[in-house]
Amino acid sequence: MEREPRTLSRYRFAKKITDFLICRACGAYIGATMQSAERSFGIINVRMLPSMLEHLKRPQAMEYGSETTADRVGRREQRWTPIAVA
Amino acid sequence: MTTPTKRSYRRVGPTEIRATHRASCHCGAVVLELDLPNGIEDPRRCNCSICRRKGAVVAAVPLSGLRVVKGADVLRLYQFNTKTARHYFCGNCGVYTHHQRRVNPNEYGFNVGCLEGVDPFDIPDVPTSDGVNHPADRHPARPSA
Repeated sequence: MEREPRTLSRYRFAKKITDFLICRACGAYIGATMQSAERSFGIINVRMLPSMLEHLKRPQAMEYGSETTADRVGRREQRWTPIAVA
Repeated sequence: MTTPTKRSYRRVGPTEIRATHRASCHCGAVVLELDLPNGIEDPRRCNCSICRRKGAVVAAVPLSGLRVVKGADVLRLYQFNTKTARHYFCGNCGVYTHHQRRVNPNEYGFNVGCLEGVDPFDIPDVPTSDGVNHPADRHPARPSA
């Protein structure tokens, strides 16, 4: 993230290890970031990239409710995108 | 795009839809009370510029059929384009709860996923409205040169 505009809101819940990034103006959920012991990781909500949506496979519903915090961090370290936080 | 078919749901998965059913945002700051005497009527998605970003399954009630029972001060309003529709979301967790509809300002659309005990993934084959081609956004053809 190059800069954090004032319209960006962060929402945490449950395990409180993730910042869900929300636009204060329209409520759109833009993506999420997480800090692990090693570095920061992030994901983008692909709904924010409308021109790409038609090229993507049909999404599958996932269930991560039974993960421990360590499981969750480990999965995200493998699958999420490393990011640099300014 | 799916051909519109009117359907109503008095039960979704294990949850019976009550005549007066509560709904809430994710953090619980906003709570709504909805009159749903016929269940969830005509639930659908929409491909307009805001709905495609929200991804919510939406159904509608008359304006008198929705009451904000908690968190009116937390709700934020978003308007764009013709500024006819009034889109409300929780200022804390960002979840879209309801909107006053542009196609019928006498109705609120509401987020089916906010209903207590309702998983919208339990509603089969939800049709998608062609909101991106809304009649109010069509402009008269320009005269050709």
